[in-house]
Amino acid sequence: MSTVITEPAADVVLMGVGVVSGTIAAELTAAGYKVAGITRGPYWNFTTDFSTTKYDEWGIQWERKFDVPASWGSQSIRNNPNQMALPSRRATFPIQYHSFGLGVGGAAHHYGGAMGRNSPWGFAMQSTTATRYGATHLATINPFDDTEDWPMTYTEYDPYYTAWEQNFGLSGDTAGSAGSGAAVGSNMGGTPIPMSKNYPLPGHPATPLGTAWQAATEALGYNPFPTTSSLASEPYVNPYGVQINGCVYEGWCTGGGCNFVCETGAKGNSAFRSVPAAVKSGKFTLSLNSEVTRMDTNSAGLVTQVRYYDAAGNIHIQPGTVFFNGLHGGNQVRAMLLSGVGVPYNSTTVTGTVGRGYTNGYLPFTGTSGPSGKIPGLGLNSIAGNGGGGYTLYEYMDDGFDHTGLGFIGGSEQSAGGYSGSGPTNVSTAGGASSGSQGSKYKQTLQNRYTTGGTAANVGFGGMAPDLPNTMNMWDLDPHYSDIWGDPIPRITHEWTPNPYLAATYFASSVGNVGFLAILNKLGAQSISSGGTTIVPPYTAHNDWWGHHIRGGNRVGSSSTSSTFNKWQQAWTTPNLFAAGECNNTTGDTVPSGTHQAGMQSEVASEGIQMYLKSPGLLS
Amino acid sequence: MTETEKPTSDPSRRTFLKIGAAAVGGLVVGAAAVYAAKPSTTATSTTTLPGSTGTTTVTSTAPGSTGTTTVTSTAPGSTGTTTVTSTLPASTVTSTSTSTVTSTVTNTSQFLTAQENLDTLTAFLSLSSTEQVELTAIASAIIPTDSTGPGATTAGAVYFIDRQLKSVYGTSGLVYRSGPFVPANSTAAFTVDGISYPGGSVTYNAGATPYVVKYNPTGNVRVGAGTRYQYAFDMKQFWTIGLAGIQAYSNAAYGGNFETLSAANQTAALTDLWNNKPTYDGAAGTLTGGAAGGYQEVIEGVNSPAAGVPGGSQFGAVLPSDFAYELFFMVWNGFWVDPVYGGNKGMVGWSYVGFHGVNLGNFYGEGYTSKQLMVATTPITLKPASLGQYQQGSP
Repeated sequence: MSTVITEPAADVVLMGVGVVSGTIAAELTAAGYKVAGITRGPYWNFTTDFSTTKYDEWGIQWERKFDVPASWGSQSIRNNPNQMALPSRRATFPIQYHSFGLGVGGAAHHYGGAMGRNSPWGFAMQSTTATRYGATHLATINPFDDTEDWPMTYTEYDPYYTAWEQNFGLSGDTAGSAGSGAAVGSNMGGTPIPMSKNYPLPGHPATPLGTAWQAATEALGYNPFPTTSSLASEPYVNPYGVQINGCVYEGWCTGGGCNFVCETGAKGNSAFRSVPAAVKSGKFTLSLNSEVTRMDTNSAGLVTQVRYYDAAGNIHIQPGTVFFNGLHGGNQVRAMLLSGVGVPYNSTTVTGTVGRGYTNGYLPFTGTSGPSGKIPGLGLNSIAGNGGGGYTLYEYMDDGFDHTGLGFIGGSEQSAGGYSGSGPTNVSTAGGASSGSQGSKYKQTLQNRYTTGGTAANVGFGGMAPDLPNTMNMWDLDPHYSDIWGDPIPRITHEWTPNPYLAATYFASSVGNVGFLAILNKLGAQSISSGGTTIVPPYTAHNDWWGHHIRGGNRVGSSSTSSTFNKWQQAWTTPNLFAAGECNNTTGDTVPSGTHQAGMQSEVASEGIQMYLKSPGLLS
Repeated sequence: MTETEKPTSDPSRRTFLKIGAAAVGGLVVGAAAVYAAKPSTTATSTTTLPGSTGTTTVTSTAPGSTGTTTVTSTAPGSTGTTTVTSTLPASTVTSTSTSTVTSTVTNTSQFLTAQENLDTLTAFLSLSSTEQVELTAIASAIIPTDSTGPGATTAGAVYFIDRQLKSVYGTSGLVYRSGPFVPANSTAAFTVDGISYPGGSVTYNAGATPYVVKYNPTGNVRVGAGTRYQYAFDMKQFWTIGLAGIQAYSNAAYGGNFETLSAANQTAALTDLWNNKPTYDGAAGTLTGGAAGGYQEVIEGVNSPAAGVPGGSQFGAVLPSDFAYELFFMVWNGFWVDPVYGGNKGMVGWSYVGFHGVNLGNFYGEGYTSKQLMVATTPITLKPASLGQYQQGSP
């Protein structure tokens, strides 16, 4: 029999302690509240846990030794309801790709730190598209469209972005004059977007390709910006008073399979940004190696306590006043469905919200065959680096160009010059071996590819565009499979919408690739491939890797009938439950990371929680 | 063996590193390697040989010179003279060095210490004696040792796989293993736990409007969607079945065990796996004989792989291309990942592609910061260092 242990009540209870919960921990303790965090892994110490053992490609890239073992649980995936969803059984390639972050900081231990604000368009895709292309346009190009605007505009979100960027220590463009209202760092169609404050740290040192890309694109009239990153480019003390180390560019950082943990703490992660401030406050209790499974509610519809297992299998009860669901993706949805909190989404009747609006938010990598070329005389040492050091164009994302007649909306950033810093298994098998992955000739191909062409840098373009919400793609509880506690695992029903494929096809076409070819020519590229004819048609992407770059599935919105949370990240049905995360994004246009948006949302939730604690009730 | 050296910035230093290993018999070292090294003019290396009280002093003049270095060994019990000839170009960043080490040491036993024996010998822990032979041949076919460099055999890739099969990989300790187990490639309708999955196209009813999903419009509509690798058995069993399946197929299709086939037939046989040419229980696209039933069938048949599975197919419940995927992935990893895992011996895989391992810029005294490597306009290739070397803190 498990022992049941009741913990002292807290003002705020954090379900999971990843990126978003760190914000709540730091800010609510600073405001004098007692906060209790529960997370299912350890609190890694980068100096002792990572500094000598992270240089291990097999252990980190493939065995995921710092991540949640897949044996603990999984998520199942199918394309449509006529299929049986099967669980991913391993954490990584070659067969599949689902690793979940373990411990304080969560998945930020294994991300690349790619950042970028949503543009104003990204918050208003539905209304902007209706205005420019007609009220029925979205329904036409996106069968069973379920796109919604966010509950607030870019201008309203801007201060929350700024707060989070300063706290997290983002590196990027600092050319604009802070506070002038004209600071650049992201733009749309070449029009700078005002940021109320610059990123706190400069971009990473430019690589040779980054420099060449900047010069070539500027000469063509583009506005290249240093690629935004959550990896600190310099030592920094954030507003919480936490000292952050700067990146040392050792490589072993980003990777094709998944990314490495950071041995200096430079990679943006709540474990090294916000949680230290909460711990220092003395008002924070942290239950490690503990997994939250249930919220209990009372007759008034409020959450009264959560239940969690510790590593020994004991059951703990944690009472509180406010609860923050900081679990990642499907687990955030699952905790609500298991607890009977919120209204489960039903895709047949199109009712309910928990599980609704799931998108994968990311281009399937079978569709990236855009224009490419090699730049003679420009060598790369892709081994050193951190993914930064490049420049990004925003002209091809959002609604920066006329989409009339194109059949899709949005586009994507185009960037170059960020060196991956990863080992050779990435070139051989990360994207999957095939029958051609054998023999002397293939071996030599890998040799050339790994040294990145030796002296001729490869530059390629992708046509990424958002996977749009529709009423069919969703999350629910799997009817067949369960985790180590016997609870159902989350189930994804998702088929790619046409939007990203049509965008990829367009950008590889003779009309859409004009700008890219011009950039390649300006770079002096040779062996230019116009890309093009081999874009994989919609709906045939392999389905082994969903669920890690998600947008939506438990979204914020202006209406309780189609969204789970209101603009304060507060559950419509359960006013003392707040949440933040990529699954709470409504839509997004910055590829690939939703972390920047989720982090911003955690600042909104922080303010909302403080408002609620002062005056309980549904916020408006 | 121990080695003390100074200064640490000599371009010919790596030659000295080789002396200890190459002092037995004549050996050409570093014939084609091109590694970055910091320029300097002179260097002195002192090597202390274990089991001896003597010292070997090496003096070199470099770079930009073609020098002859005479090494005089005063190790007791030997009368050896080792001559090192170095040709070092005047490059300030990259140097090519060709060195020939010859030795007339007569008493070699002192150099072959027990530790060296341990370093060079290895053994299998998991693969059966027949699997050892088969997998060695398969790995060699996937990554041949050829004129351009080392292959799977040089790297000892099979030992990587063997050790993995003995560890948490083999026991699938990190794999989600709850049932039911439904073949991922099944295309026929089935019912699981009372829920029917018809497959085929699907009509959604959103609100009052029906919408027929055109996804995968023709054929190959997998009923069991989701991910590959839906097997009840663990990885060790998966490999046992797969390797037995390859022998069964190899005998049936090419007339002999895999290791006896011609190079062309070996390549063809491996390619056939990807195309699912061997027989397997799920070939008809049904659940019949799949999952747990197929697993039992195969396990009983593995003692006579050439005969195939009694009353069953060559691969049983395993989709041949699933095994091919795993096989290729693991062989390549045996070539690429840190030597601590048993493959990539001598870091030959890393040297082949120019990966520096855990040499972050200055491990052998090259004097670079990682940031300098990142922003260098000409790629700088460093001699690799292993995780073990890195943790030890010295070459």
